[in-house]
Amino acid sequence: MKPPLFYDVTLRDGSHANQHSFTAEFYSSYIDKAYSSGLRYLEVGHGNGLGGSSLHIGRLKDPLLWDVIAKKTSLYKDLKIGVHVIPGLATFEDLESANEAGITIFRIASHCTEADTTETYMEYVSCQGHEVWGLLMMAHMTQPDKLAREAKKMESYGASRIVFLDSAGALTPSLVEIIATEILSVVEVPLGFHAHNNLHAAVANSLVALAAGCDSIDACARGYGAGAGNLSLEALVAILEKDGCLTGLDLKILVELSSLIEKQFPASLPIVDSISTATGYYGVFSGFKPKILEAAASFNVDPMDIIASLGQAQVIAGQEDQIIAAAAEIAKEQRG
Amino acid sequence: MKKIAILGSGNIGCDLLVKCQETEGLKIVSFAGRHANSKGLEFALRRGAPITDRSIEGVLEDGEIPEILIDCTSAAHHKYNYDLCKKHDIRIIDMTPAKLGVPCCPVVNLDACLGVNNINMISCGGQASMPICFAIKQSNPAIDYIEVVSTISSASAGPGTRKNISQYITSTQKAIRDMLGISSAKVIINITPAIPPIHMRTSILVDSEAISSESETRSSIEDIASRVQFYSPGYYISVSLCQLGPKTICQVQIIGSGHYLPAYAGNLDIINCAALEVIKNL
Repeated sequence: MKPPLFYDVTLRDGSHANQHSFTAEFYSSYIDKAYSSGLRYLEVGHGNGLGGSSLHIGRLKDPLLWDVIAKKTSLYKDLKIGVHVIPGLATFEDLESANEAGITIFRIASHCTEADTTETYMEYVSCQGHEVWGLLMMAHMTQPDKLAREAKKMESYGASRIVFLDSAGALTPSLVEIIATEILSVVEVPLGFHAHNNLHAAVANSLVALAAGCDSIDACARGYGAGAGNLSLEALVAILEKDGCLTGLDLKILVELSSLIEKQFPASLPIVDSISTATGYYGVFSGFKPKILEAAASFNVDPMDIIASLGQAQVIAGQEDQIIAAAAEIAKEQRG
Repeated sequence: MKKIAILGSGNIGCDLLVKCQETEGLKIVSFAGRHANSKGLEFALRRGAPITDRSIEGVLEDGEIPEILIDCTSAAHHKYNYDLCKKHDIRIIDMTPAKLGVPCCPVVNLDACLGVNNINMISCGGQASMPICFAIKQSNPAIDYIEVVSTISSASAGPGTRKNISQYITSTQKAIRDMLGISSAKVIINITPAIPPIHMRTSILVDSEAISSESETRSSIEDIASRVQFYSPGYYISVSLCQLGPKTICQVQIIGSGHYLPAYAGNLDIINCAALEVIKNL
């Protein structure tokens, strides 16, 4: 089996886990070690990508992160550093700043049904000569054939790769297989998959995605990402190597990366707990977890009631304010 | 009778047509589009408006010259339209994010806009948030940063909205900074396909440490929201000002009048209601 492209999103998705408090120092040591493991694709930045730093979602604490990124992109010439871009949060000015920092992969993302919001952003990045990927978030919230049509739109805007994201960890292995097959039947460009572990299915779903024809996988060291966490990079690599697939990555160093995360962030290591299971079941965005707990405490309501309400209202990533609105509404009803 | 021309036959133009026709003292002298068989022009024809498919040229050459032209085209076309209007001494109400005119939110600075020849209606998120931003700033002069998060339904977001997201953000940010005299503002927009389509919601967030009196701020917000309701009846506070640690948040919801698009399109409705309020006062 040909090894997949491993796209490490630890330094971006992990930002959700520690509420955007990665330090420049940590970025520097992580990037050095990741490079020495053989990884050549890393994503950086705020959990919600460019323009995500806000009161609404959470502010990036260390203003020096971008200096480190600029240093590393000039030091490691064959290392590709990418960013997550959601039109609606990010502006063209943000794309320009990332360009100046040496970013070479722009992953332009939209909610799974709104691909046409990415068109002008993709054009902007393509004009700068960078690699553009098209990302469909919250892939569980639409039908596979509709998702394939949205992927096709992104391809027509210039995306050189499509990635579908199980942002809520709500997909099952059979759904992942159907979606991957459906998208690959209509697009010419390669396909990737991004898993979350809310229902303990990140590894299983990623293996199914690879078997169904995906050739890139998003993953995090120690699964360090939003909510219940992402696919554990070292676990997938270990499984593939055991099955005879030579990944080209040094598993020993990947385990050290995982251990680096454990030492640095003991209080925010992802686990599959009751909240994660509920968000996975109701299909609520993984990154909402700390805010659901915060709102539940502020309004003295049960977090499970908030999750059920958000699921019913089909709230999407970016609607963090709706967590507060839902909690306020539940509190009002309970007071009678 | 004030003579009005509507330029641009998309959702905004069609909705404004209905609003103007239902308002006493306004006469539609021209409804202009670019494509002879467009849905918008057919709609206007059915409603008895004089139509043209030759855009601004049609407005200036085919019929009665308007006193006021409402530009519902795009930021890219606005400058051309504005230049022609200046030549003919026609006042322009700009619904695009072109940033050439004086930004106007009726409850904040209507009087200051009545004498100018180009009045810019900012954006849907700008009209929804500006009253609240203004009330918060008035009660808490120390505020120097405001964040505005709007969520609109996918069904209400036409192709123009989807292609101009970056411009929408930067022009709304600029209007908030300039009108309130603060050094930074951040604007976020979400488009959701939830079924049934949601009503437009806009949250305004500030740093809790900049709020000197929560109760005074809350009553100032309630006061201004009730004044917005005079021209945008579906505007109401959906989450009363509350503090969650470092952030203080307030949310409004806008139920549209259902003139051209259904009630979920509160985003379309509030900017048009604001424009109509300006026109009534000109």
